Amino acid sequence: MLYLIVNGGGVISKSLIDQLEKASHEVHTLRLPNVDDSALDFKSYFETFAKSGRCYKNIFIDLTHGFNEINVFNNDALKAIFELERRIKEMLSALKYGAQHMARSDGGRIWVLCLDHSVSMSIGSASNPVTNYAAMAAVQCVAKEVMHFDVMVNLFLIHPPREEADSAEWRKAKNNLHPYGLKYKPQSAAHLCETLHLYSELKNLTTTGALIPLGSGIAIANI
Amino acid sequence: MKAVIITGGTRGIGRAIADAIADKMLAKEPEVDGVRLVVTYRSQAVHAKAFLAALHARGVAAEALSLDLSSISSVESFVCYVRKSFSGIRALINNAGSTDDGSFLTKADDAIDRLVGTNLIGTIRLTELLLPLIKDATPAFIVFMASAAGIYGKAGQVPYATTKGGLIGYTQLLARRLKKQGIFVNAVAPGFIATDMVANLAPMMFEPTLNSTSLGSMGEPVDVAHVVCGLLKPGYVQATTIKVDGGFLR
Repeated sequence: MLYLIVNGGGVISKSLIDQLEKASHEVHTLRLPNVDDSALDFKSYFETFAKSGRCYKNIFIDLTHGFNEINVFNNDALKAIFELERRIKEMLSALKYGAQHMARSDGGRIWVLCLDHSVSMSIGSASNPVTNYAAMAAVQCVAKEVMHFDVMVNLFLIHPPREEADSAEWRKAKNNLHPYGLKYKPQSAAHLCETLHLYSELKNLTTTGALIPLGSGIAIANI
Repeated sequence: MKAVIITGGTRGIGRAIADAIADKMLAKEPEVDGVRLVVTYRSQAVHAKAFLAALHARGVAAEALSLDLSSISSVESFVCYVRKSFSGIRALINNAGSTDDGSFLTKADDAIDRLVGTNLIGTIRLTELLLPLIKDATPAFIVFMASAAGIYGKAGQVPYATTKGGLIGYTQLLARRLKKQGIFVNAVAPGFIATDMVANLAPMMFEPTLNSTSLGSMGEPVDVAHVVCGLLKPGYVQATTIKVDGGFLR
């Protein structure tokens, strides 16, 4: 099966790519550019790719990596706004042209990956509540619009994998993590990605527009 | 003098909020006693002028200023004026926003960018630039106008809902950054409210949603205004989003 992973540089994407390739899938990756680079042109990318006569069956848009709102806003709010604007527009562009690409073929599945921002109150993982809630809203809307093209769009809200902090930091945070589990146990990226892999390979996916929590204990996914 | 600022405060929900706050000012409620009400408008100066005259006739200290959230220079000019004119901001009600409904897959990129730039980025820019003045007037209050679409999603409103979802997230981010500084940050998420924004919609655009609510009818702007006013006092409500949607059953 053919996969596209947008922003495949983080630990979750890397682990997912490993698993997919071991399962003999073909995986393409697109890196989101740095803020000073020119924007990624999803329209051209998908148009050019479609000329090959092939279509992606799964697109993962990984928002778990490369941005930390709480840090950038604390350091330089105006720079943070610029970066945030770009991330939101890129996410929408990836959703729009990805869904368009699949709608013109036989459909497919788009998965948006977000990192649970509440756990970052306890460990130094990235916290992106603006991006996360924007993505949740976008996924729920887009899913309603493209379901009749057999394009399914869902979002995983993933607890930070064990690799996001060293073991001393996890130990230090253990009391704060009681709301998630009395003895909170972070999962490795590889274990978390087994679920992503599994969902992507389901013969009949019956879920669209869903916000799926993934990790130990309680993940926020609703208000 | 301190200010209470309501963006998009001359029509619809914003106007209802301005009227409700004017009532509180006239009643000399402590959070707004002695403040000046600032309402902003983007393009409809005539509406703004008429509303301002009505406020003045009631004896409310108020002014109406032009502000276009999509324009960095307009936001900066507005902030510059506020800095010169006021010693602090008691409340910032981020109500202004626009919508551009239609199929997402065929929507022009420019139109998507415009909504993101106005509703989300423009609102955040304004808030960040005004933060020092808000910190000078504690206890102070920041309210964001989100939308039920930003919580549940709605077909035909992808960019709009995305921006409103983003504001829900920014409410949390800002509250977390401000911690215990005496600034209360919350959001309100209206469902279908009888304003100009929904006046031209075909019934099929809203009836199925209304049929899925407990109350089964559209809300009025004043319903939202009451909730916003309830957030303008110190308390234990922080970083949350209150739905004013007639009990959408999801």
